[in-house]
Amino acid sequence: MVVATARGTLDEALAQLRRLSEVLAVIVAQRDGLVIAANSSRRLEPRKLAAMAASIVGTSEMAVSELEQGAFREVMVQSDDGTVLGVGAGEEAILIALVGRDANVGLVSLSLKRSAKEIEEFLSTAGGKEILESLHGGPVG
Amino acid sequence: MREVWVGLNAIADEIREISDVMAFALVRRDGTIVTHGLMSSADPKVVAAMTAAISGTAELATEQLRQGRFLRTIVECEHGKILITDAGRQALLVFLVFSDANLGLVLMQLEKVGRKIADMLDRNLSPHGGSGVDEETLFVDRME
Repeated sequence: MVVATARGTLDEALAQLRRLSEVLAVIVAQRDGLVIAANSSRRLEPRKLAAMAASIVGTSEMAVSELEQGAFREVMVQSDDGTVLGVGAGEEAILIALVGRDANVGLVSLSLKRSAKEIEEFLSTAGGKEILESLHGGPVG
Repeated sequence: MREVWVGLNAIADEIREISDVMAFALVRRDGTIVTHGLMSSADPKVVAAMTAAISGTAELATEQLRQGRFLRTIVECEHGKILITDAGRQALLVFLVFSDANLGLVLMQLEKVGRKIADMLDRNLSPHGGSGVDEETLFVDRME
């Protein structure tokens, strides 16, 4: 029951991001790439996006620390037809978005960072922890 | 071979002239360093390996998600931004810029310099154009 309501909170946060124009997918994933929650257009495979974005975020964080540039904030992969954005959402998770070519990347980036903070707080609550545990099939660390 | 290095050095000087660029590196896609203007605290080999890894995954993601041609990766952090773009078939160009940099302007320069390097490397290192000089030599040459 707790998990069900907690899921609702996450899903609502993602649905809100999806409402921004040209946002094709938003995913909360664990840092190892496992999907926690996703809201994406039907022709996209969230697991694939999550796995690749997690690896990009991980290496980016390492690069930032090697170059002594302070805390990592965000990574953006830009291509002809769109942009993949990734931000950290606490110790456990990352928040990922895939947007189309005509999206307002600045606005999406801002909303993503704001939501990431909420998701970070949420994942540290009892309901959030339970979701993470249910992914692992047991208590986290 | 020598003229490639003269050309690369000229381009490196050109990059140093760009305002807002703190540091730069030209790395091979396999994660080895070609030339750089990094701060002394950073290990060029580590930077090369990591930027190549980021770019490799980013390009793979672009392809897998059918997002067309890969353009660039931007990593935003507390004190600045790391910009990575490709410079031809074999190299990647990395800029480290201040966080308050005019991103539009810097990206334009990044693209321009990237194209210049691409032209030069692909011309000099192509199997038919380079009189037996392969990319391996470029790296070894630099290390000596």
